[in-house]
Amino acid sequence: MKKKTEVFRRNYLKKRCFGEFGGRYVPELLIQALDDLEACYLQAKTDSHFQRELKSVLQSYGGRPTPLLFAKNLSEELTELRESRKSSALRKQRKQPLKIYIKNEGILHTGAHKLNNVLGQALLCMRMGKRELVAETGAGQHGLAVASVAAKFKLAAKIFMGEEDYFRQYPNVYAMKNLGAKVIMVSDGTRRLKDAVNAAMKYWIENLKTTHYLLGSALGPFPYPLLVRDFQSVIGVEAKKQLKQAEGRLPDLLCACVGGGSNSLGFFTPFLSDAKVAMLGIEAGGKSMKLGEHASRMKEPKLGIVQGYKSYFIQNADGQVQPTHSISAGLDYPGIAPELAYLHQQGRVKFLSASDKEALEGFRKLSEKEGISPALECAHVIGKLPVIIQRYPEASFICVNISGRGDKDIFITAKHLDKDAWREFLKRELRSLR
Amino acid sequence: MKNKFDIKFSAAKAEGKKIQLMAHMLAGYPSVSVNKETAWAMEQAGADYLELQLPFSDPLADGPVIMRGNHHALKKNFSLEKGFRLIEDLASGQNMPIFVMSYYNLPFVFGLEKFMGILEQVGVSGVIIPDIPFDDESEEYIQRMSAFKLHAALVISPGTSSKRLKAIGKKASGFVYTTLRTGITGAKQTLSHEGLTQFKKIRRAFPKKLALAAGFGISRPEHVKALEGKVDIAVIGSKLILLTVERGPLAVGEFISSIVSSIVS
Ligand SMILES: Cc1ncc(COP(=O)(O)O)c(C=O)c1O
Repeated sequence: MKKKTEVFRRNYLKKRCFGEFGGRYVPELLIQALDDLEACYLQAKTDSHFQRELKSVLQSYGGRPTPLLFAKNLSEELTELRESRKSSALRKQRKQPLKIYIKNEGILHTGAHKLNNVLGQALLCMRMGKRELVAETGAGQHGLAVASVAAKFKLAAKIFMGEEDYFRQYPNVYAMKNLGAKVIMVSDGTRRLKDAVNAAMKYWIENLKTTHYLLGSALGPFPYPLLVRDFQSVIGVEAKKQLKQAEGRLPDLLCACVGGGSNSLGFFTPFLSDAKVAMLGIEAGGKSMKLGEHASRMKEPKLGIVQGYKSYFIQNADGQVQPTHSISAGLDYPGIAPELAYLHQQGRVKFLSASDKEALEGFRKLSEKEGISPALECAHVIGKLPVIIQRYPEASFICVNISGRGDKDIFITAKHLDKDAWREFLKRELRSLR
Repeated sequence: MKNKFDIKFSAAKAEGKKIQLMAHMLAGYPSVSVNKETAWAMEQAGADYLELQLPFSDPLADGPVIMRGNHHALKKNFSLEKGFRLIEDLASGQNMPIFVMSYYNLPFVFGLEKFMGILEQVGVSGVIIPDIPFDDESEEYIQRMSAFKLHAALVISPGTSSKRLKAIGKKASGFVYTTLRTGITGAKQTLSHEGLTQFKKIRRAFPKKLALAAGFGISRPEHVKALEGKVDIAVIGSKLILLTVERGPLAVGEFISSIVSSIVS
């Protein structure tokens, strides 16, 4: 297994793709910039000075390592649920306790895993002698990390954000502006993450010499899928060590939410060669499985080439990318990391989707049971756990990656969980602004 | 390989025409009927070639004017099927050789062979797909296109290295399209210095006979004049689309006429 992975890695570098997925399908004028970034990254990867510097800022600025928590109350509840589903004959046997662990990236500075990649790429940006960052953002967590790191490293930052996301994640817009970044609202197309990526990429094309495009997920043209995954792998590396320490063995199952795919790949990658560890990605099931009401690309995977990479996209028979919906802006995107498409094809990573409703349940559940309010993105995983433990009856040791904390979502969750009181609060706020 | 483009191109060269014009049009924007009227006006005014862009949801190399046109056409239910019908009508209704411009996802999802088979059948001269850069896969693509008697016009930019230019020049078919700046499409008041000074480097790297086209930002007769003797074909895009939408097909004709007369004089 290990050897196979190695051969595959080498091929990836040579051909710039994971099996048939990935590549760099971009206008010629981006090739030089992508070549430069690739060369810079491959050099940095083996440069001990770079690695030391990255490790140091991840610690001192980011707050790594992030904790691993045994979710005792949640585990007990799910154990009971599993027992209650068993036939009476089976129930007589000894109860097998479920153990759910939480890798908590919400503790990371700026509140989500996004910072891991941003610190890595910001160092690359300076290594290339560039002083400006451009980025897209959906939930605003990537944008917030970019804005913060830009302030810290004295870089300029421009953040593109779809109109829809701009307003539903306004607390993050405010924070980004406050940090000195310029936030640009994108009103074209579906007014979401996809269109923010288009706008950021075009800004980059027009400003290649001075600007680094700091892509926030493991997608886009090569080398982005590779370097984003590598920078995020610190999650899995830490988790592996922590899990072994906690239970003396590796878990049976890893679960993570999948927007573009950066937190899931970062979490999964260090476990890929451990054949006994199953991996499950949770996509946004939205309101229903009707086109336009979800962001589950793996439901009926359709191969395409969009935004510079070959992968699965939510698109029609003509190859036009179609609108998506999710209660969480970070999962509301029609494409998926090419490496995840490959791992899915190989059967290594499986996928399920969780609905908006399940995500809200997950948000409430983790808050109530463990005192952790997760971002709506990863709340999808918690909300799906009752189904997951049914699908994986053999799994007794599960680790969930909590990719971020839920502060950014107060206006969304409150609308559903505390509507009347929230309205009164907003009325008062409005009055106080007069 | 010789198709309609090659015949027209060498005839124009033999006539001593200083620079030829390729007029760009976005299928379904603002409507198919306006597309047809505009093509007629372009030909009457003296445009030599037609570049017909098929709308795509995520046009990576296009600035706001063309991108919003793409979205507008799709919102009005412009489909690939309608696109093929329009191409067929335009190919039989006028004489300018046609190049179909499309982002890769459309032929990729439809099936490259099937897609190109249709284009060949209706007499298209070639395709321009901006998001297939020159690499291993594009060589195969150029070969597959030539089986359909279609030129796969490659796109380069002022930043393309001499080494890459040499390799591209060896494989190119029909013409090579260079952008006049490192950027996205859009009409500009002036052409950039980097755009206007790139041609020596390109010509040095390319075989003598290979046709060179340039576009991105052309919005005035003087711009075309400035390209005389430097490139074989000037491509006009966003400016024509703006004119079509704001002032109609006749204004497009007048604008092209003004360029044609400035070339002659
Ligand atoms: C907290 C959080 N989790 C998950 C995601 C999804 O992205 P990815 O799949 O790249 O981890 C986002 C993206 O905005 C996010 O903010």
